[in-house]
Amino acid sequence: MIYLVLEVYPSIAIIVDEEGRFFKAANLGYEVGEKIVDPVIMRPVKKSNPLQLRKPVIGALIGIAAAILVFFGLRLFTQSGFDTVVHATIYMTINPAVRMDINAEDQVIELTGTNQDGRALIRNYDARRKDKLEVTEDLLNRAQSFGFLSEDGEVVILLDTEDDEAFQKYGLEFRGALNHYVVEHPDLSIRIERWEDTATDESSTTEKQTIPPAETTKTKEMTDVTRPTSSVATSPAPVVTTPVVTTTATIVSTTTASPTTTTVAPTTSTTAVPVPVPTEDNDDWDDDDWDDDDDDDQEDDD
Amino acid sequence: MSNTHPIVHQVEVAQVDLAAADDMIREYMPFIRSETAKFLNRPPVDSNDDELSIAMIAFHEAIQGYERQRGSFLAFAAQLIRNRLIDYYRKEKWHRGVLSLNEPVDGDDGYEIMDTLAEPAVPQQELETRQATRAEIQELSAQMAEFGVTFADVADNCPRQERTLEACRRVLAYAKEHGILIKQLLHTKRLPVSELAAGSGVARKTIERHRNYIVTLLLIWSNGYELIRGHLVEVLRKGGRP
Repeated sequence: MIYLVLEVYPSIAIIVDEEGRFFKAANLGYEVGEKIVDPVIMRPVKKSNPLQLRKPVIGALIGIAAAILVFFGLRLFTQSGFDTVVHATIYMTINPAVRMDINAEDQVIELTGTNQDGRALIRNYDARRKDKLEVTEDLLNRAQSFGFLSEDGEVVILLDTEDDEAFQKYGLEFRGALNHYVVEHPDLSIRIERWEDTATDESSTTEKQTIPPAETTKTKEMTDVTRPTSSVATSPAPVVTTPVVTTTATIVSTTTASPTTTTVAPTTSTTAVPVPVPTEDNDDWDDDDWDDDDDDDQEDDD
Repeated sequence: MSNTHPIVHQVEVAQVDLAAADDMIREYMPFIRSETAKFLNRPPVDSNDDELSIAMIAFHEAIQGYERQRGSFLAFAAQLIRNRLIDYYRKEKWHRGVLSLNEPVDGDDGYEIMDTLAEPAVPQQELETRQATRAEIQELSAQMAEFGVTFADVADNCPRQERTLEACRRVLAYAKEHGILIKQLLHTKRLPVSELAAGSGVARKTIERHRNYIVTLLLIWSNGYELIRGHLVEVLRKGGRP
């Protein structure tokens, strides 16, 4: 069956088949006027009808509901006001790879290991309601004590945020929080990048928005590493297909840099560009200098 | 007891307003992306992963199907997203082993198989047809607006059972034979329900219930819209009267 696309919204498309049936379907990048085959048609969710339930079933349900109420009531009592709406997702890859869903208050809603080592790393660790930075530091410490992270190892933190503004905010927070970690482990490389679609055009992926490292005198020497396409992370999760110049504790966004951004990262993959390095003596350098300007049918068949 | 969670109120508004539903989906994109990532075990790519679009339509289904007795909306939506993605993967299993045109070419930087293929023979003609179809659709949409009907309304109002669909086609066939009824519709902006019911033998209640759908069909067959009519080849053929 061939379908004609009549109307397109970001989330859905209105289509009509050759027999005159209109549907709402998933918008898989369609255009109005396009003819498509095999769409993902929206299915109506059946409305629940409590009157159809028999009395014993109702009784059993009430019993179960009461038990759940007691259980969750206690939880609610102790965790009142905890926002469980995912605001951003953070992927951290050492060799263990983990995913952290956080809410608008930066509290961790869910922490998941995305590979075997990642699951081992977070075993018996309760991250819920803790601040994202606290959890990140805890995980780094655990990774070291478990032998996953060596002194000259590399940590990649990918931030899947709604927009550039959120990325900048989180990036700076991570940089600030992890600065002392880099000082204590000078050979350790921590990269903070924004997870971004890689299927964009070449020009938009080769330029990087960069916030320089908040380093101290101990880490003045930048370690520039040119990475090939596939070597960003060992986990199956984050993939950055363009080469990325790595700098110790550097925040890199793979979005298109606007002309007004404080871009200091190299625009090509092989050039090492000197980055203004704030030192302990250079206290007037602050985050503000790097502000970014930078998106059933109920049939009656009579 | 009247303390309704704001999200429930938001869902109830979105249930009757497609634009509000779309806004809500935009607002909850991090949640949708997160649920998709849980399933894919990697972050979804907006322009590349159909799974994200599937998750969005599932969220839409969750909005439409949510009732207060179902409990937390987000838990309900998460479950629907997961079910939808599982269904999609089961369906896609049939296509496994088929090479995607978006696969990268071995050893070639950034090139996909699609880039190495010759251009299709007549894309220009197809583009022109699509453009002309788009213009017809826009014109039809504007005419439908005069009747207070949108495509989304028609999608919601469209009969799903073959018997009802057949009845609507009979109404259309009758109206087409008696052009005065279509003229009357265009002039008065009111569907001549009594005449259509009496002439086509379809129950008045059925016509009234599917008013938006029948109005749209009658507009399509009123004047112009050849390309749209060309697509709907089966409608009149199945209507019993050629």
